[in-house]
Amino acid sequence: MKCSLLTLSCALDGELSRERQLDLDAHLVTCERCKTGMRYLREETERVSLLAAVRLAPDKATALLERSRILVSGDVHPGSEYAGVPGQAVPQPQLPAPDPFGALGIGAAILEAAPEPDPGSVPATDDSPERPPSAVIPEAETVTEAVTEESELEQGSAFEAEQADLSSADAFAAVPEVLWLMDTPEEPAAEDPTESPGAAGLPVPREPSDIFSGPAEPSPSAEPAAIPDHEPETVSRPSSMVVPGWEPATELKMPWEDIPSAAPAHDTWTPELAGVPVSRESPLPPPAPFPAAPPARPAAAAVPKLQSDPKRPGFDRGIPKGTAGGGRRPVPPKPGSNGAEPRSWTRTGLIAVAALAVVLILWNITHGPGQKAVPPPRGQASPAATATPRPSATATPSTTAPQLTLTGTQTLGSGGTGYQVQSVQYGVHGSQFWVVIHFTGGTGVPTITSGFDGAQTIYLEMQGVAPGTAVAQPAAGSLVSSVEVGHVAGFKGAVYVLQLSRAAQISPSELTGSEAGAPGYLAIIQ
Amino acid sequence: MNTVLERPQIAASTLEGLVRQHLDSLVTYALHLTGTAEDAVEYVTAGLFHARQFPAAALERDGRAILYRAVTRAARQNQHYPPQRRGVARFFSKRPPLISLGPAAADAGRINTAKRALLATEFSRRASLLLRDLAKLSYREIGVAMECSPEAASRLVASARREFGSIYRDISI
Repeated sequence: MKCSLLTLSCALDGELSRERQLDLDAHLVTCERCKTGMRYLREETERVSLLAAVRLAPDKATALLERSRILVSGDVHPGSEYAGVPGQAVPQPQLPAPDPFGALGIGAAILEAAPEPDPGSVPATDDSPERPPSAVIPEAETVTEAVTEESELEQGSAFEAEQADLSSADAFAAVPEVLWLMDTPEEPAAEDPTESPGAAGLPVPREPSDIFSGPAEPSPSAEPAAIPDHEPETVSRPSSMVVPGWEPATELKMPWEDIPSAAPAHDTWTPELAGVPVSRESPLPPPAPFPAAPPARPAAAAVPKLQSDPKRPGFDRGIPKGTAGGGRRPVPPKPGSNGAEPRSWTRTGLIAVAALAVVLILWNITHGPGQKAVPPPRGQASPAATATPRPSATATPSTTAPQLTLTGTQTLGSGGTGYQVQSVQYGVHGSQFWVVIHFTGGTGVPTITSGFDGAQTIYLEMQGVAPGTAVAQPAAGSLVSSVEVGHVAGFKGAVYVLQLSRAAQISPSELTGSEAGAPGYLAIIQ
Repeated sequence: MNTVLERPQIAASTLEGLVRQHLDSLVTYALHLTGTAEDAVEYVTAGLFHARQFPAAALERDGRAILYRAVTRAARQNQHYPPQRRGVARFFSKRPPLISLGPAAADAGRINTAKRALLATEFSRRASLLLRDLAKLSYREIGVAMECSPEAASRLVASARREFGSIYRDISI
């Protein structure tokens, strides 16, 4: 007997024949590897069996049955008992439901018709004693004990280790090519006459042997019905251990001399894992005591034309992925997706909206107001032609003043520092209104910038000058209605805000050598 | 005439009885197969709708396995029920409210390490593993449910156990 994960798995499920089970029991006495493997398999079986179960409330179950149209709404359903029991209300005949999958068209209309009467079907109940034994659904644990030689226990020997050693490549090669084209799993009406009596025309029940060994099985592990007891000498089928490109020593962590030969004798112990592929290559040492199957898919490699032939949609669809050989581990599916990604108009719409938003943002950047020459915001008269544009100069006259942009700025001085405003005087000379600011202390000539915020507000920014303690106000009715000490964010110096009673122009000039000997500033407003 | 009218009725009742008997197991299987209660309800509903097409003889012979087969196929092919409309009609179609499983599925829907490892396995292997270890189906019934031979079902279960164990040990470290 050979070490086989398949044999252990079948033994764990109680699907081995008695002889094979005895052989395995004898083998387990001496083989620590298989003991460990059996323990792992038991743990994994226990983990899955301990998953929580769902107990539906009766109303939920009834709602689900009505949703699936098994139970027509308003029926008197006898609970879990079958209809036809004397004394029970007879349910209404099931109404033909509309086509739930609209794409089926007239074929679905045929399917929706009531099925033809089955001459062999007999009304049966759950507790009817005359129910035929074949109708009883046996529990998994009692299968091996209940069936006879003709039953599935004898079929269990068909998938024992030695007979199951046929590779998947042979299984593919054994399937006629025309049968691959018969795999149309997306059309349930045409795949199995057992499922669709209306499409098949007659409700011919298939024999169990037809179901399980029928030609319409695209499974990579589907084997011919007759499995030879011993391999003929002419068959040059490679063993599962000598697939090119696979390094068994790296996976087994065992020396090469311990690796069995490629064509082992019948009495040697060789790991046999045909049909038990490995999901992926792992950098970690294999926790399971069994060697991994080759990473390449031998079945697909044996039929190269089937691998990349897009005209055979049933090839990849019908074969359970990974059953014929290992690939990489599949990505965990999103809940509910199951690999198939339906068309999403919502996603397409979101992408379109996002693209439109990006285009609008780009257009706003390239054609926005920041890129244009904007006229003065309040339509004031144009200042002197020598004005230096200062688009970044913002002023905040008081604590909560909005951000302002000065226009018509004029700058005088050469960067003197250390001054303080000593006094502010006013004078009227004809149509001109003079504002004279005297400084004290300091050296050099302070830099003073004047500019308009609107038509009737003048900002005087004096760099290197500290504001005075008190500011004298002009007489009432003057061109300058008030003078206040202001504040400009980011500017260090005195800021004076002159409010005008009407729109005017300013002509600044420096005063050198005033009466106090300190420089001054003269603003002529007219 | 009476016979013709009675036979489909009996078949429907047989299916109803079968479904009522195995509905909890079906929902449990679909929930662990898909990961979410909403998808489980939809796939079970779609599968049961298709299971109505099976003749009474097949239901009597492989009733439980046929129910699992219908649910598995609905989940594999992502068949929603009622079916989702295609194209622009999706925006104008009004879907009926989902049947909420409520607290019955709270524990089963909780994600743990075993379930995370289970969801990381390939669909066919996951289905076969659940059919064998959770639903306790025999290899012959798994073959009916997975539409393959019992031999292929045995290989599928063995490979599923191997992959599940490998993933579980990887992510449980």
